[in-house]
Amino acid sequence: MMPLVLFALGAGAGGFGVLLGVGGGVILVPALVFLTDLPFTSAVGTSLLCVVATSVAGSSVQFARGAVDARMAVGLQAYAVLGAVGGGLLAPIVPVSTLQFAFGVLLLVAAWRIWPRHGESGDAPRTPHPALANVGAGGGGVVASMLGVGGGIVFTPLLHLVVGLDFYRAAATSVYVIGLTAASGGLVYLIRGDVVMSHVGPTMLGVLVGASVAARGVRRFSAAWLKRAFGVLLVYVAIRMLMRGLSGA
Amino acid sequence: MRDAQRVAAILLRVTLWAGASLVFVAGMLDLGGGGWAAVGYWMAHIGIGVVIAGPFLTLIAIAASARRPSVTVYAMITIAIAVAGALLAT
Repeated sequence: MMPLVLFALGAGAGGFGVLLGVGGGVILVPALVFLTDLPFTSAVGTSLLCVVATSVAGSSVQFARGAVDARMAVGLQAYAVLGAVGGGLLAPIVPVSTLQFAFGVLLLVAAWRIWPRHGESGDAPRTPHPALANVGAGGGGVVASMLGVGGGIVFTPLLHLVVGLDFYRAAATSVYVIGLTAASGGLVYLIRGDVVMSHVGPTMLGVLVGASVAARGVRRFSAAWLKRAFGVLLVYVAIRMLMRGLSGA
Repeated sequence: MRDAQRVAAILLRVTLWAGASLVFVAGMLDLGGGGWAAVGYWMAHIGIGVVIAGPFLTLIAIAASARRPSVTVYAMITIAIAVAGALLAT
């Protein structure tokens, strides 16, 4: 019974991840901990490997369609990885609770900006600011490594609001970008043995199916609907960050 | 860049199917128990390794076919830092 539950969980997270350009870790980690009593570290390791699967399955379809901005993705990946290393170095110096609070506020602003206005088609590109995008990607890497949030929550709004890609293209590029960062992180957990193989197998297979189906059907959802869903996700993560920041956890 | 995208799509599809097949067979072997389960355990590791290789291979393919040197430089920096970071962390 448990493999079927994990398969369904993976399929849901993979589909959700591809539609919004996030990895799905925001669903997977708490679900794995609560449903299967997996230790938090193993849940994070399993989730990271599933994020890679989401990226591979989603990007294989999106690359074939030309929906990924490859040049932009490669540039952002470099800045994000550099930012992640910087975040590791800054971690002992910068108070995490302050960063959590600031990031929570930033996510609320992003949610307000990404929410489609009345009469807006939902996928209208914004005025592009490519140089700002590199700074944002570096900042996203810092935040990801210091606060343990996935990159997608940063990259999708960054690519849509700052770079000016339409929401579908922003989500597709974000899914590709987070694959590499999750792969390097997942590799660490795999080598350390912090991954429960009996859980990874069915969850990853579910993710591959869910992400592949979602990548083929993403255009059936209106950009305005996807942006609303992403806005809700941003508010959820923002509240969690603000609560942690205020409690000093 | 369009050729690179086609190559990237093919690479990701190959790693997706190869990795998923290995993970699925590993799961079936695991149900057999005993020696089969041990084989399945390692087969699952290989399958996951194949899936993880996908993003790295894609980045190499994009870097190799990029006409702009900056794309190649960015890709090389990314791979070097990602691999070094993973190795140092372990």
